[in-house]
Amino acid sequence: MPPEADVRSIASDRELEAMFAEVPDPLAARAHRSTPPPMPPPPDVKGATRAEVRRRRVLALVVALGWSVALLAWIGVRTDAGAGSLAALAVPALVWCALAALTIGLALGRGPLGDGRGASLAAWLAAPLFALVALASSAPGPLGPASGCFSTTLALAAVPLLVATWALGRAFPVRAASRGAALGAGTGLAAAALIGLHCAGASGAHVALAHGLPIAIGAAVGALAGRLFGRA
Amino acid sequence: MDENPLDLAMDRYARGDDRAFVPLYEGLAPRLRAFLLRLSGSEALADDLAQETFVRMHRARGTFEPAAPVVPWAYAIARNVWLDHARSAKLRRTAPLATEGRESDPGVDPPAGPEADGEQAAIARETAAVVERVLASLPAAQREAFVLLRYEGLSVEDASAVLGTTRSAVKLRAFRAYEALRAALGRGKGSSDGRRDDAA
Repeated sequence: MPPEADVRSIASDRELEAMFAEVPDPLAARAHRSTPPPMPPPPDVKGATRAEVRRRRVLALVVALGWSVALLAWIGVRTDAGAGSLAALAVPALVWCALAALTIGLALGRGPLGDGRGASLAAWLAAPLFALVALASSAPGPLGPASGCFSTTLALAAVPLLVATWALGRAFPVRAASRGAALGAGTGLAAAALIGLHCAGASGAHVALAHGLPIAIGAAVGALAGRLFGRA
Repeated sequence: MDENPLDLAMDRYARGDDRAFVPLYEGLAPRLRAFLLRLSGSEALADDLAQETFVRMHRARGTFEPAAPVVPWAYAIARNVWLDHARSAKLRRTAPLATEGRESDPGVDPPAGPEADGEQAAIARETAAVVERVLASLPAAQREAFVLLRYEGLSVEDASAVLGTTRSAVKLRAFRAYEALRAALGRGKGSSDGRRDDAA
């Protein structure tokens, strides 16, 4: 028998299978009874087809984008002197939006990075990364009035997360909470990117807390929503 | 049934073809029921949980990815059904396997032919009882990994998809279960040998 520490590298799948075959099956006869279980009546619950699910997801995406653009238009894009050129505003927003898209991609995707493990990591890292970058790249200063930015960022994140929860109901047989957390963190990151287009606050503490805290809240709420509604 | 026709049936079902439910059910129901029986230990409960699994598969069918394998997907849903049941009944860690019909199944390598005597049958029953007892006492993660690999015949890849973890973790968990079982079977064998020696 290989030592436990080596089983990952030494034992091939076939070797494991051969080892495990030593152990008899205590329920062989009962597990493989000759008559299959009776066919249940057709489920009387609604099971959306793939096309319906696709339509629902497209609608959710449209609502999320529409909400974000409409709210940003309502609160207005900053025009202060600190904004400098258009690029000075757009580049950080684009970078954070790209990271948000990556986080959401990890939540939804399949494969080695998209199976929920990468999602979990992204959910954990999103808020601290945003806060660290904010603190490192902004001028030190007082927190200042933060409730306006905080609540607006939450509002920017909440509706996309809500419609995503609706559109992705029962979509994840495994790691639903991790995927939900990444989805929440991703919507939070996108919201933080958008509020940066509106808020003229230059203090690192303000950006880290008022803009960054909703990312962590989004991850927590997303984890709960994934656990409750996302699990197949 | 081969898994490929099952995948195709699930693909049709996901697209809304309700007639695909019949081959899907016939191909998956015995396997899911066996899996749930091994987790729950109760045939009646396994039947109920298998039916609930199909209801959940129906609800989630639109989320089934094109060209994805249906077997790990269905097993993962069956596992969720079991976990929900175990949580609600607070059974998972206490006595998940200690339910109806738990006594050793004589179907373990049943002695057959003229050489099948009472002693062989007794040893088979005793071995089965040891395996059941040890499996019931293992942490759920180890038990699930071992059951999927040893009894359900899933590949390590598919088992890791069902359990939502890495291949290494699945192998390690199953191996730990195997070690516990082997140790218990060794002790059981030793004690029955000892009894035989005493009798001689």
